[in-house]
Amino acid sequence: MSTLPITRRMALAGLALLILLFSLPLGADTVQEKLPSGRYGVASFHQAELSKPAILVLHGFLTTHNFNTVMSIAELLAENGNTVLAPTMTLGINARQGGLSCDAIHTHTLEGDLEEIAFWIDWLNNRGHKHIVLIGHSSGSLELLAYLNKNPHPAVKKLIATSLVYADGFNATTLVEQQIAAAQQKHRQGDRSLQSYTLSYCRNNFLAPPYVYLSYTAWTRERVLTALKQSPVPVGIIMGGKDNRFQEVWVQELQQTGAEVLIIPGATHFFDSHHEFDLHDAILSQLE
Amino acid sequence: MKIKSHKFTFSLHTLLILFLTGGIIVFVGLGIHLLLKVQQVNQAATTERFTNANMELTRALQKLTQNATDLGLRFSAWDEVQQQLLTPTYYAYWREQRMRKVRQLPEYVVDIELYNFDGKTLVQPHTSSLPNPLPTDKSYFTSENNHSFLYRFTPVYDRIDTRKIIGYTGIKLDVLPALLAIYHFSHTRADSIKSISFAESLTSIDEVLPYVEFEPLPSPQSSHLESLIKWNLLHFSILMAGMVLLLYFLFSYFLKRPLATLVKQINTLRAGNPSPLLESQFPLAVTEIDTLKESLIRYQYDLDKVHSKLDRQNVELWHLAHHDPLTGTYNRRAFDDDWVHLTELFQDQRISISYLLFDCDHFKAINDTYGHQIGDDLIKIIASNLQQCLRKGDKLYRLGGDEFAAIILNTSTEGVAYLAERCIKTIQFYPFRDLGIREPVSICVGIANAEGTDLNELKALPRHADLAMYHAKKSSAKIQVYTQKMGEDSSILSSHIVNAVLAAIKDDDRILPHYQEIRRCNTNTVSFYEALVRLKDVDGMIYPGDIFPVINRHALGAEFDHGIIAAIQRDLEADIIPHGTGVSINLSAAALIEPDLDRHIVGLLPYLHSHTIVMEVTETSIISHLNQATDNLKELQRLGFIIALDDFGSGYSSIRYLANMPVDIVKFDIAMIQTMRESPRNRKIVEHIAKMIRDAGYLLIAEGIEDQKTLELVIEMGATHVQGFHIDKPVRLPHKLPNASNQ
Repeated sequence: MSTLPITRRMALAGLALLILLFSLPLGADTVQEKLPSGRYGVASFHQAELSKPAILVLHGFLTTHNFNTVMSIAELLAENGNTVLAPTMTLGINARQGGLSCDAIHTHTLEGDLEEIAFWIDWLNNRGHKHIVLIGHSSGSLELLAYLNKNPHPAVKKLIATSLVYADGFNATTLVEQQIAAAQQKHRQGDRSLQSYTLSYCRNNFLAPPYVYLSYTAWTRERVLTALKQSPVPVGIIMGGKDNRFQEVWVQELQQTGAEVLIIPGATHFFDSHHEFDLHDAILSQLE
Repeated sequence: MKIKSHKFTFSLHTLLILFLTGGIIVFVGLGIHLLLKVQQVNQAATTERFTNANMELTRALQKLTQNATDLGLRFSAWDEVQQQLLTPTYYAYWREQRMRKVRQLPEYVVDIELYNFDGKTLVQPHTSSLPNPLPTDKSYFTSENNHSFLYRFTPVYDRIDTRKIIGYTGIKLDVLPALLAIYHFSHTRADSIKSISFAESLTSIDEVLPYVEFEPLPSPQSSHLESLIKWNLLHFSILMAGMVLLLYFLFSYFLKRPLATLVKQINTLRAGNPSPLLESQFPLAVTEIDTLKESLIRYQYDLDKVHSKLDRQNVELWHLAHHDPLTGTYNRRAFDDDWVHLTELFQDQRISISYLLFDCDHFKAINDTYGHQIGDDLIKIIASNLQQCLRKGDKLYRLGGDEFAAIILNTSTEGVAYLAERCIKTIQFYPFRDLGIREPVSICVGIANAEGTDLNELKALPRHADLAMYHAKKSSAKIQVYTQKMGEDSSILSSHIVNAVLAAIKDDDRILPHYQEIRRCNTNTVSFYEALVRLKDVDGMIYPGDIFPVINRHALGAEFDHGIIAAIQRDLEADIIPHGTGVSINLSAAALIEPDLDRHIVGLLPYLHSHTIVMEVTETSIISHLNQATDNLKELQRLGFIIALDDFGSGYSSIRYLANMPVDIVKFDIAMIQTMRESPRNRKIVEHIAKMIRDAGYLLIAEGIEDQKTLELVIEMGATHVQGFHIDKPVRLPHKLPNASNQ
């Protein structure tokens, strides 16, 4: 892993910010589509030539397509000449426009999310894109992996999972296990009352009924690794060298799945600062 | 001397207090005026600040309203609102729990509510403080428990079909915290803003504003200015109080104290007690006061000199006032003063007093004969000799003319007689011939004694001495001591004669002129009548022999003559004096020398054309005051009066005087007629004198004709007119002579 001087990093970060600000208008539209759930979904869409793979970029846990990492990837790919669609999962909110906080009421499920992913892939396919590459960030990578594990569209040719996580990967296993067990019990009892759970970066404040919690925590470490191994399409994994949400063993385990794992030294979970360029380079590299 | 002084005067201390008090009053007045002005400015500033605060509060409420609108829009656009409207399963929890935690809305938003598109709350029953169903007014103010709240209801639109309302949000803002949060008050005291309860919902700011209490922020400038002025006033007051005390001290020390010392000094001087000013020691740091002190010292020095001079002059003046300038003896004033003192002394002590009255015999004749200078020398010699004859300490007074007096205390009558005798002998043997006086000079002494405490006896002493003197003049003995018999026999100076004379002077009706014929020798006809005075008295008539000694003694000649002239004028008016004749009037020396004689004879002027009016004067009366007498006689001649020289030949008649005097008639005294009989030589002399007078153009009247022989003698002598009892006796009514003889 290589490191850059701090002054250079800062210069690159500033340049990236400028590029972001002045490149957004380049062909990016906001599209709203009525989803199978009846709600409207919102996505950022950049139309490019059909000859190049269309990219679906999915944001992480409770964020939107406007999340920085996602946006930079979308912009990168749009500049690269790819058609880019970056939808925002509704999470049960019609045309959701902002991130949802942990302590908001969560009535959405992973299954609902997968339906919306499937909808947007169909939406791309319906626009003539027969070569679709999925790029996810964090939980978005997990959901795309889950989508591939379920019944993926034939046009989906590849998954690039950045900062791939599993459901309890952020927290102590014991706590999550206890909460999952409690949720399973309540769920079995038909209890749909709101509870505070620990999920992803939400620490005991993910407010949701048990079934919601259970839908997301179903994707455990083992299930992720299994899914990677069983993926119908090639999976490229890009991980930050200093992503402290996981132990190093996780990267090793990922590498053992057969997926192409690229480690960007020094990068955090969000590939911030100059590591964003490394991420871009890695993605472009994955796309080739 | 009366000094004009101010009606109101003030002491220096009072003036200082007045000035200082005035200064303090002016200062306090200015201070109060300044404070009032400051208060006015503050009042105006307060009004302006109140106006500004009111406007500011209006702006704040407007901003709050806008803020509520923005909050409503923002809240309505929130994802979770969309979530709750579409999936209200957990709305109650969301509103009660979630909204309390999330900071989606400011803290001053005290409650929220979501309504579905029908305007009903999402859950029933609703537990919020917002109304259900949705009110008509989308924004309004309410008052609850002295708190004002702003309600804002905002529609929530479908995110796809933006014209479709899917529900409403309602927010409730606590007005006062909201105002403080969104608005920075620069004119209003934030902690003073309070709401007043109002019953109904109010939709406009103008309606709400009256229910908001507030206080404008104090103006730092005006407050600072006021405090600055008060501070300065306080300090100036303290400074002024100090200045007043300092001024009072300085004034008292440097001005008042020295001036008070000077005033005390002056008052001491005024009281006649010269004090040692020069030794007065006090700090005179003020030039003017120092100068004043020096001036006062000089003034005091000069005053002392003036006092000394005045004392000397007083002594001199007293000496002049109490001494006779001619003789150096005490004068009448000194006698009067001593007499008063003696009278007082006599009341307290039993003392014997002898009053000696000296008078020179025939002094008038000597004076007339030898002139005033010799007369004066004679008086001085007599005075000097009398003083020498008296004992040491005995005072000699010149009472007037040739009359002297001496008061001898506690001396026996023999001793007093001895003193008088010594005086007489001294004068008798003095060589007066050295003065050219050939006749012997002698004096008479009248003595009156009193012993005991009878004040009346004392007061009678001068009159008693007068009577004694009168008797001495009449007798051969030159010294006469008053006896009671003298008082009883005296008629000349009896009180009733004096009273009659004085009464006649006051009331000239008491004077009854009698007229004695003066006949022309050549025609044996009446030429005119001489008026001879008689006084009417209860006991009968008083004749000139008794009248004139009183008049002479009391110097009443002029006043008595005025009465005679008035009586004669009355007789002329009554036509008592026949026309074609006339009347002669005797004028005393005193009347003759009066400057305003013409005023008294003016009543006679109308009769000059019908009567001959003759003014008879004596030679001595003219000589005594020759100039004034001559002037008056000339004026009488000019007016038409005839001037007759009476008693010619009775004294030391001088031809020189006769030649110089304006006289028309010369009346020979009876003594001249009698002289003719003494010897042929005397007759020749008188005849020659008569001839000389007649040849000089004078008419010559021989008076005192008492028999035929004398009448023939004077006719032969050459008298032009004759008068006497042989010719005619004085009568009251001359023209009724035959009938009037019985009157």
